[in-house]
Amino acid sequence: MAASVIAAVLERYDTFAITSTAVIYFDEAPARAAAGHVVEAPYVVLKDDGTTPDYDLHGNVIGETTLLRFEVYGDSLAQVDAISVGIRWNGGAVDAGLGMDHADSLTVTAQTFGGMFHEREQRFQETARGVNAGLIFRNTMRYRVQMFLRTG
Amino acid sequence: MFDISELQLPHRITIQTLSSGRDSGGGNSQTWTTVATNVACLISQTNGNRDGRHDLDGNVFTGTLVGGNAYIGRADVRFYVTVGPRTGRYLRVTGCKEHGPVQDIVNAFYRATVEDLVT
Repeated sequence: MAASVIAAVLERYDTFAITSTAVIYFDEAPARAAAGHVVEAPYVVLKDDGTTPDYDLHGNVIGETTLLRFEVYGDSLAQVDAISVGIRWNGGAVDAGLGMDHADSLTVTAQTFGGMFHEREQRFQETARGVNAGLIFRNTMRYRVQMFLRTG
Repeated sequence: MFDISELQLPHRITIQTLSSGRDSGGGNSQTWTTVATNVACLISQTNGNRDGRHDLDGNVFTGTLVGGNAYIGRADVRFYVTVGPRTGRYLRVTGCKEHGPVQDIVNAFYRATVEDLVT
């Protein structure tokens, strides 16, 4: 069981089919992968945009909202789109919850999962070029994760 | 009358020009066409740095390429190194200049700053 929402999302991503195409890293991709080879597109970077508690709920329940985004990098926009679809639905139906969109579960220690919501995505062509002077494309996919803590 | 070819520049490159299209996702795509081969030049490799592009802690080499071929003075090209530093690699142009000509003194020569994302 993960100790944070970010850790849980990384664990969940690693169970997806798309992970064989695009490995995910937290905040910044390293110069070299675990296997020793140089990291180059396609890959995914998970950014933490912060967690905010909500003390206005009734009773002894505290809500915590985490904002995060997947930065999907690829050599073409088509490749970026394919990876993005894999992240959203993981090969399942739109309403199946197998991907990150309305994920069916996210296990974080001492917290109850409330939902994972796809809020926005935006595509870019990067200014800096990649290997062999090639183009690099990016899709920024923003999500909101709702968790609950019972304090009494 | 001086011409830079008199320096017997030691490195060799293939020069490719750029044209563009569209991929199946609607994004821009690039096509490179060879316009000159075995072009003499001098590549001065400066160093590498990790510039954090694309949220990647990658290593980028930069350098300067000097020669008499006018394509070296253009930005819409890339260079494939056949002899010299970064042999077997494509160099991306980040800046370029034309020097001269000065009548009866020196023919024009060209200089490009280049980079290569190391793999």
